[in-house]
Amino acid sequence: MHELSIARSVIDSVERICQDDHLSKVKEVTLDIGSMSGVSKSALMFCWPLATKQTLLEECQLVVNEIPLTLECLTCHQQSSPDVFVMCCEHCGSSNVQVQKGNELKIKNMEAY
Amino acid sequence: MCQDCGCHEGGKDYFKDHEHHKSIELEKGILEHNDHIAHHNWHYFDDHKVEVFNLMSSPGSGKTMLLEKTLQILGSQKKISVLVGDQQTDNDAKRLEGKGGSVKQINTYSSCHLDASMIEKELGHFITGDEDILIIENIGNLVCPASFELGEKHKVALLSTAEGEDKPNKYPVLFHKASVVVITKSDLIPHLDWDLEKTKRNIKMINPNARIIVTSAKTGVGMNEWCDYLCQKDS
Repeated sequence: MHELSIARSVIDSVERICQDDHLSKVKEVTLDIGSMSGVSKSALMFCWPLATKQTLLEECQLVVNEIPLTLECLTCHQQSSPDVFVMCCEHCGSSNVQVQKGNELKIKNMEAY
Repeated sequence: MCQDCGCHEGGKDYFKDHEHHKSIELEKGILEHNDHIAHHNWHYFDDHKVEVFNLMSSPGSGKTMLLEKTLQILGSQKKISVLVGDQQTDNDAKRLEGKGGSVKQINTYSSCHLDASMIEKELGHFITGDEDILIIENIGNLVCPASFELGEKHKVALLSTAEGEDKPNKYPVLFHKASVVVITKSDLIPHLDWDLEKTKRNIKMINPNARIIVTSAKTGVGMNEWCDYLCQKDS
């Protein structure tokens, strides 16, 4: 359950931006969370209301875009999106692949006033 | 009067009755703050030529036993410091004390992982910079420690034979990030329905480039290879 730490990191970053931009309330925050980031959307959604209490993000809506894993094959140069994580090209079977998408762990945007 | 949405049009001032949102594109790393501290730690270790290893595994995989034997073997040749992470107790630090290195316990209480700031606090204090090797024994957990950079140069995953062959497939993030997977408790193999080759194949499915070292801290199997790796003799 490191999602509480993740939520706190988001809150800290967003509050810092609010201070710099003289914003007093955050309405919505959108995150990109890759399937290989090790962060669970449901655990994050669960702790979000509690973590944001008495912050500028209280009652702020959290939107989480889940980014599926995409592998790029360095042998046949095709892309795979396996449901289960395996470092293996679905097309040619090569293990000479790299993670193209799925490691994301970022704040995409926020709406504040 | 509001110039953003034309709400003043029609002679009425609606400005007080609604709020104007500002949408800000950020594309900002959630763990940017932790990564920033980890980056500073990395530079400290690089400047002081300290090889730093972050040991991650499930609880009970044999991290502390492996370190006990490691300190006994390498302690007289290398200056080694060990930071041991646990939610509570200093049991592990007590086990490692006097074995051949400096040891400090970090208690995280409610937290399930170590983060970069916990290591930063020790720089210039417990970590003096004249170590050859710093080993960080992370909290026993196969999920959370994988997300937090500490500033280490090497991520090591431990997998004990008693845990079964498919742990890497069940917890791929951690095993994917490790450059070395140490299989521990190999002395138990004769007593278990456990297949080394199958385990190796599973690790390679998740991390084709991982180096695999098979050890038993109890019998000493693989300990030379493990210690050579810590001394970076063959890399």
